[in-house]
Amino acid sequence: MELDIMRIMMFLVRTIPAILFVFLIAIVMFSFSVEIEEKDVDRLSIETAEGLLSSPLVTSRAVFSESILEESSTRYGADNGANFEPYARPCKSAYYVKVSDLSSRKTWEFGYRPSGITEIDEPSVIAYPAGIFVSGLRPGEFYNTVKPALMVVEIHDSWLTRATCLAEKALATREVEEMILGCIDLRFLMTGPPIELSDCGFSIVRPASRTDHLCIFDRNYGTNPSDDLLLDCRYVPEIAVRQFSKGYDNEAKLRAVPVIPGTLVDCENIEALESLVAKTGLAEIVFCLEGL
Amino acid sequence: MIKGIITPMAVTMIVLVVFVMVSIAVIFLSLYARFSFSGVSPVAYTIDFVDITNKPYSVAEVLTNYRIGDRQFLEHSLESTVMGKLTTSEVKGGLVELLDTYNFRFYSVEIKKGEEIIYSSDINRPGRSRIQRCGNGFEGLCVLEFMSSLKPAGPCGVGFIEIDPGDNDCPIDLAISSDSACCLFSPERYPDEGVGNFEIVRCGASFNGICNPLACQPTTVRINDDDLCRDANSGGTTICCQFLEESLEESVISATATIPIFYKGESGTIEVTVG
Repeated sequence: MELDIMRIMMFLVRTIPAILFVFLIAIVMFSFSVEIEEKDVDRLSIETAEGLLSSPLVTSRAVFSESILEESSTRYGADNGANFEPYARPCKSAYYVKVSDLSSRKTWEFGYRPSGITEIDEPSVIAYPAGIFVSGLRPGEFYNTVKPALMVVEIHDSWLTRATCLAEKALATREVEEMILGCIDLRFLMTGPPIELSDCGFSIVRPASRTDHLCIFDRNYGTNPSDDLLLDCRYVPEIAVRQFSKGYDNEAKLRAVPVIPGTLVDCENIEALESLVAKTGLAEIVFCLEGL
Repeated sequence: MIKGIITPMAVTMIVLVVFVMVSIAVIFLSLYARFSFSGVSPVAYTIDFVDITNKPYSVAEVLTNYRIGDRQFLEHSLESTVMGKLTTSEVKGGLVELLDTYNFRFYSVEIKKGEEIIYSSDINRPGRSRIQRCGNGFEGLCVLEFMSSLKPAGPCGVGFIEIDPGDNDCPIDLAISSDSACCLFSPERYPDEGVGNFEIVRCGASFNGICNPLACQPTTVRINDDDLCRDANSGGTTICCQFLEESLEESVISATATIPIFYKGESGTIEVTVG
């Protein structure tokens, strides 16, 4: 069979552009990257506000009861160091709410606000129009009305809220839960040699003085367990958490392992962590930190 | 060569030409998508949570518990849907007293029986009015003629001209029975139209504002005049106002809650709009 050079050339001239074209399209397609920003803190602020407007704080939706606000502010307010988040508590983030009576300028506030050391981003803030229920007696009649009020909800995203949520998830799912930890400006002694302070650090404790809170503490807390050395606390009752502190550089992977209380946990042996998980019954959360 | 048959050479040429053209088109599209020539990437898509959506429902809940005079607002609404009219004048004052304290950009409360508006609190005030479009292509903006402070500058303000609203006329405000003018921002045509007594004096750090008398109309925003308005038009236009499409769009973000009301076979709705 005789080869026709002209036909071969034309075949190549047609085929090569077709192949190149496929490559070109592939390069264009793969060069785009999709970025998805969840904005879950913004969404959470709306959800939390809606939750609070329908919570036991109100007599009917968006109409607050002054006596319940007074009681909540006293019981859950920051003045007594409570940091409670009643009625609409999110897990990964925390809320702080402030209700203002627009006629008398009186305010009631409670919830959690992080200390600067653990806060990740600016809080997402949302303001909702609301009312405060007023009842009274006039000659010949008993009447109800509302006073204008404003409810401002702040959603705070902090390393403490994320870590406590990790512990709660680990306890609920009975699995090892993990998250990436950015740098928290806490310095702990690194195991040497040479023994020196780390650039970043994470610590958590349920202090004896505040048994329903989990707190991040300063490195000196180990030798002097004073409340002054508790840097940031969140109200998280009913989860047993083993005291933990460790230093790291820049970034770390934090794991929460639900184990039978008292179990010895070797955090260096990551593969073995799953086998230590307490699938049922009582469990305490042990944190493990792996520098990245 | 047989007539009507394309030669292999011609086919090859066509393939090459198509390849080159499509490649150029793909490269251009790729560059266009990668670099934002208009400030916004054509392949970017953002979802923002607009909290305004839920606010009218809170206001509506508050209103149903709110007492005006000797009865709740809900009772006034029920009565007006049955009677076909509002029998007391104190509702308007009561609503304004409550809703003004929230400091919304815009609010409106309407009581309706079917499509008929029995009562509307739609009060256009500088800085807090809902922007309504007019003109055949919705190119104009409705401005209430009651805003007498703008009268020396024509019905629309300095830099604006009045245009024919065409089929999309501005509604008459029910609360104050005032007509609206259909206005178009056109500093180029303003001097030729012979409206108002004031000349256009540019103001602001980038000269992007125009000096106006007394107050900025709702379709503009007040900016720092950079001392350029103080003596403008012999001191008659001391306020620097900037027309911004973005601020206009922002000002029309509003949401409405509709609450059905029933009484012995009669029905109506309360519509609360907040922006």
